[in-house]
Amino acid sequence: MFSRRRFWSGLAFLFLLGGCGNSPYPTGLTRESVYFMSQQDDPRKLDPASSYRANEGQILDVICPSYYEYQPLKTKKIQLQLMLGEREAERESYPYTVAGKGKVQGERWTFHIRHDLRFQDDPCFPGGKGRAITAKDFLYAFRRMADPANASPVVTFFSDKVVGFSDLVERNAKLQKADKGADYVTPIKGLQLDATDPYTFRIVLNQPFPQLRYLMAMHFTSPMPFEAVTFYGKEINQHPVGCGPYVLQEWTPKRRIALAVNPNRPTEFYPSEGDPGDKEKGLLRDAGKRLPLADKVVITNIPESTTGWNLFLQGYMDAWGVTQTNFQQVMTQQGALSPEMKEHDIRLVKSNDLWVTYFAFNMSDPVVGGYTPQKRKLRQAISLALNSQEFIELFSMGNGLAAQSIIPPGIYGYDPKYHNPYRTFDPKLAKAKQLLKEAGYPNGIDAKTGDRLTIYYDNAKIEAAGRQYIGLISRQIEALGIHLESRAQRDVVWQNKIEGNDWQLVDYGWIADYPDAENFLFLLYGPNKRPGPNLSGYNNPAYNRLFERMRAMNDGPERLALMHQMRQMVQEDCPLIYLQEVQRMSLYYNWLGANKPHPIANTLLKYRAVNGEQRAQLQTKWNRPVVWPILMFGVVLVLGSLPAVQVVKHRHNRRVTDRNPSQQEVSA
Amino acid sequence: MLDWLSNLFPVLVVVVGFWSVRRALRQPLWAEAWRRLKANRLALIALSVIGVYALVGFCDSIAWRNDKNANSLSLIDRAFSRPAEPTYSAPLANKTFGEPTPRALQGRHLLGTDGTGQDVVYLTLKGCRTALIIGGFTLLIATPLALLLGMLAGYFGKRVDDAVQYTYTVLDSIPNILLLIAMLLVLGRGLPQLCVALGITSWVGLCRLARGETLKHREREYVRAARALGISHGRILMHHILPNLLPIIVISVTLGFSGLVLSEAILSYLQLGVAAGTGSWGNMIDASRLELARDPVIWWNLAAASAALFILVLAFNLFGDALRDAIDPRLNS
Repeated sequence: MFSRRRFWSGLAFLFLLGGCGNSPYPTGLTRESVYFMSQQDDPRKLDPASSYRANEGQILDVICPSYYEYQPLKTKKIQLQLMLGEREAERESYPYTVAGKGKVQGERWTFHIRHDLRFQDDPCFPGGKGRAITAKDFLYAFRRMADPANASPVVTFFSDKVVGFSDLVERNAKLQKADKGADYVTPIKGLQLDATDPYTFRIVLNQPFPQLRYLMAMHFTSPMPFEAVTFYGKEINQHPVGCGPYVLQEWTPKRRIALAVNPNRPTEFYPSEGDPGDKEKGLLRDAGKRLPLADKVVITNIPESTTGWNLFLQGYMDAWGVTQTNFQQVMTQQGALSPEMKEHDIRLVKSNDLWVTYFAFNMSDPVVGGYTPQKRKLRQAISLALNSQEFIELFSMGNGLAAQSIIPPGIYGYDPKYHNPYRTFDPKLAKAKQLLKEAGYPNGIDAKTGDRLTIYYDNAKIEAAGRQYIGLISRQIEALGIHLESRAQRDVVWQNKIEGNDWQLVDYGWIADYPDAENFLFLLYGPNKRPGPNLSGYNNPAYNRLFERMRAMNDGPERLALMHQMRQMVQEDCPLIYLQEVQRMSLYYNWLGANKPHPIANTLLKYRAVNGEQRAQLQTKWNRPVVWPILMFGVVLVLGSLPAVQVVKHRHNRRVTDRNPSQQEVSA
Repeated sequence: MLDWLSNLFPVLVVVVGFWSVRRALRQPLWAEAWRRLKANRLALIALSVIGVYALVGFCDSIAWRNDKNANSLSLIDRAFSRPAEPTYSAPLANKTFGEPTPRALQGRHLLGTDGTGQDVVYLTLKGCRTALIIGGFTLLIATPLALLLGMLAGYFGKRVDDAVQYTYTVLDSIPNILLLIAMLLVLGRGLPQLCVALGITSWVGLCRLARGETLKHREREYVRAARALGISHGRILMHHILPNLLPIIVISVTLGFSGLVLSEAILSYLQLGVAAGTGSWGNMIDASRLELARDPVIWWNLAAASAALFILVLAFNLFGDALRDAIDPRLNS
């Protein structure tokens, strides 16, 4: 039975709900020095030996640092600085003799680590207290990469260079086939401990490889305690144990990851030097402060961008990206930040990523692959039909550069004046059509068979934005008269097709592992073909020879000349259609200290300063409960119910009336 | 040659459809039902709406190439043969929408354009054929299967009934979406695959209905009499029981059609719908996930697809209800 008392208590409950607020975090947390960010999905794993994705790197690199790290403020000329290293590694020539090969000109690197390093406190250690780190822990990390059970994606970076490493990899593969554990005991020549100093180790390479310094800045080479691997077993990829500024405090799958300050972290300070102009921008305001600047980092899973964007506007996310969906709200037609964003105390930061996207031809495909002049011309014609600028306008809101070669800006060897003749778009497609004719396909028709040329575009673009992408590439290529057949599959099927070499044209991208041209030019080095990073399978012996020479050189005019020769070869062979050099726009609230994006560093979380007090005040201001919709709803509900109440009342009070009383009397 | 063959099929479907309706109308039950339907204005409007959709679907199925290397274009494609715009544009706008530097359009579009620059009216019309194929062909797969198994189970009972019941109980206990996902992963993406997958997952309800009705009819005097006269089981099933099941089957199929059209939209949202390039209201609605998140909102794509879907489903539901009333006037009260 409905009572008035219940009605009023229900109404009071509804009003009390308004006091609950819309904050997704525990009360008071946003007032503290906590940096709030989001991720679309969980990291697959957080294991230094095997994690390779960008979202994994940004978490892992502040838990498991390496010998070097990137100086966060020097982005004009990217620089390394020591992190766990005590001093610069010593690089020396190391000639040695190999049976059957004779004398090999290798090199030996000596690394000296800091003496004050301790692993974080973790149950894997006796008493739960982290122990001191020695050179052994660094070499253990290398051996984990050679263990096939860890499926390290960078094992090829080392196996062809570190003496004895490829043998170790092969031996471990055999042991795995025999269902035995990997070899972590047998010494190998390439990885040496110092007999007298536990804080020194050496790496011996079979060739000069100056890029080793960069590899020593990646989390793959971070020291690893064997106790953690023994203790956690297969679950080690959910329990990273390191010595960085943060430790993994919480990982609730599909919900959140929280990082807390590591009490055992090595002492390190915010840099006091940056690029010219950084001081004026306030980027040196925190110079000399101990890192990390924020006490905690909370990463919330937000699969839907709309939800994340709304949380950002409510002040519950500290940073967000500018995307196709929010672009019109964020930017004015003139490319500046919109007044609405400025009112919200938001600043816009633009940055260049070391990230190039491209379409790749399968060089072993009978139609689009091959090195004959006709095949080259066919690829050149297709390359000329693709208009990068339209892709950039549509999908990156005009933010990006039309790529002309594989080397992006910020890498030594990038030439802003270089214009690839086959990446210069002409709306009339005159040259493209001519080349297509010379390739044997006038107007896209095979001159021999009279059939239209069909090119298969394999992709994993099954979502709405992907369909838009397919629409654009189809329109551009079909303008030549070629039919483009899109084969959109789920990501796994697409990856399998690539691994099985069952494709003609795909689109791909490469984000630098380290800021050296070698890390881009190796995408076309023949021996790096699948499963290596050379997707197209391009294999030009002349290019390979030049690459091998270039790889061993330090940056300089001689190296640059080689790179130009390689660029010329690739330009004519056209195995890739360079699409875009990616630029990024990010939004930050001003309660975050000044921050500078870095094209490659993954350790930026430790430099984020947060003014929690200011944030909490603004959050309260922006998130006052809006009561009128509830009241309005109540009024509509009441008004809407009135006729129904009337009907019920009417039926309830209905009486049988006597229409013919005289007849009743008669019958009585 | 191939064009003619592919065009023959929709013509055949239409001819067979008309012929079946004409034949049915000669029977007293259906003639009476049609007389009652004609008196129901709402039913006639619903039927006309379905007819319009069918006409659009038919026009989109009649396609031919101008030369052997040209793409096969349907009547609808030819009616909207303007080149596509660069990207989104609002209804009747003269510039693109959502680009840093909006570009001039080649023409005006009544309901604007989508992300690939296609006219939304055109895309909406293209969705008709897909919806009708999904509804029609799925029912062509599911209905005979359901009738066959349901009638066999109901008529013969015992082990046959046990086997059929076991099959559909097991199938029904697997969540439909899960089963569809699994099947589409195995069969691949495409319109025929989608029809097969939906057909396999949607016959159970009708089979139960057919079994129950057959159970009822097999004990009726006319079936007993037929049996006593020595008429074969097959003949009894086909000539005596099936005609009595038809009214209820027709109603169930009509109402089931709308459910199948809606499933396509749900499956597209799960990225399991038809491939890009095939007109689909589901894909248009799926695209709106991003479009509605934009500010200003892109609403025209969603509005057009939803309206088309809503009108077709409503028409089928109204017609289904009216048909039920017409066939069994007792239900009218």
